[in-house]
Amino acid sequence: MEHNLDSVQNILLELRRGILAIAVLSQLQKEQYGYSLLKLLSDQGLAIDQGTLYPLLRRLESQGLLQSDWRIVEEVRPRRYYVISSLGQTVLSQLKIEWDNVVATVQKMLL
Amino acid sequence: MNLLDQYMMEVGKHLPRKGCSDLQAEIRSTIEDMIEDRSQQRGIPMDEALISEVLQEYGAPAKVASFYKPTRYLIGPKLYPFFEMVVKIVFSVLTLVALIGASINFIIRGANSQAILLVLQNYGLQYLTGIISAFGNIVLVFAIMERIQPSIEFESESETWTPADLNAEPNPDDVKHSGLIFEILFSTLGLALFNLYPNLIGFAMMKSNTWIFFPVLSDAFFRYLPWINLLWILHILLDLYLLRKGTWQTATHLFNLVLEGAGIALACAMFIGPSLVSLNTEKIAETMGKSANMGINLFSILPQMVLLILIIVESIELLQGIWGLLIKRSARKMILPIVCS
Repeated sequence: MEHNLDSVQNILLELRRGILAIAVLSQLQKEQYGYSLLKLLSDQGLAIDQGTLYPLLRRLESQGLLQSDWRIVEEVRPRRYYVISSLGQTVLSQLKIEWDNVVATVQKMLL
Repeated sequence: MNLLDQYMMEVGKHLPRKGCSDLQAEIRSTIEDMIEDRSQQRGIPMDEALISEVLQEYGAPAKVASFYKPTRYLIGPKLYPFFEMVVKIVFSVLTLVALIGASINFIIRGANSQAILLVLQNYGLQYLTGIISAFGNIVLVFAIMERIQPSIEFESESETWTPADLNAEPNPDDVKHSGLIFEILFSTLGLALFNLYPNLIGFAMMKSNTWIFFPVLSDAFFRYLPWINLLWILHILLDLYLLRKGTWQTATHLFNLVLEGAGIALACAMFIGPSLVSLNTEKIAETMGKSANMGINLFSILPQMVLLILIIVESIELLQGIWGLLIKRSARKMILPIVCS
């Protein structure tokens, strides 16, 4: 029984890992700093820890899908703000189409 | 220094050097946001207790830093199959050499139970030392290759294979990774052996239940050693360049031919020059008794035989290389007018 639970957890972990990039790109239409993005994702039901989010943000930025800069907003401490780039927008549009296809296909299989 | 400063300093120790201050600033910013958020939600001050709670939740410094580190390997998954193959081959060769050495000793000295035990004991120890040393050297070479060439693409056949490959002519300019890795490995082992442990090159005989070792290399050999080193180092550099490029070009073909030509010239000079072997004939005669002359003669002519084989093999390879280059060029000349017309 415990073994089954582990298997479920592992598969769910892989599933979440696969969709994180789409989720993050979709939430960066408006610029966000790290903590606000964590909360935004969590509020929508996709809680992830910072150890997963920040390396992902860096990877997406190195691929040119995000832009970031350090800024001081409203006299608070400096924060790094992330926003989707124009290349990221194009990629996200393609990913949305692929996502719809995957969901439709899997739903058909699960019926 | 407050708790958060101490925590950030500890995280910094484990972060990769590249972009460390940027990463530290981002982690700190998030932690400060968490503290502020929690303080506002609960209506409590941002004191040490709250900072401690948030840091506890954020995780141990080493673990936090580990998320930002790329996975590093001593020998990565791309090189590992070649590493495994080389280890198997080297271990097989060492086992074969040990078995042949032990057998020769049995034949010459007789196979009584005491001699067998002593030979096994000594060869067993030598074999074990040799295996460990060879394994260490192979790991070292592959670890260096992993560090200096992490981007070498060792594509597996399944990744690039198409049914069209079944009928396709092999491209002679494609680099054979396994061959180059072998060459780098054995050239490095050769450099280490001849420069660091030249006294290990020789043979051992048993007399009155004790082993006597006879180094065989003469002073003449060591006069050629700088040239041998130079050729091997140039070969290693060429191999590393080819691994990076993934294909032979005219310039690398020509450079390889020059190296092969220089190798043949050096082998010829060593062949006609003074003997590369210097044996303590009196001590050998004393140890081996009647079979001494046979052993001395064998070791005297062995280097010349090896050099002769080397010269013949290298000359054939050189001629094949020149022929390949000429054919390639003439084929290009034949294709060009067709393309132009």
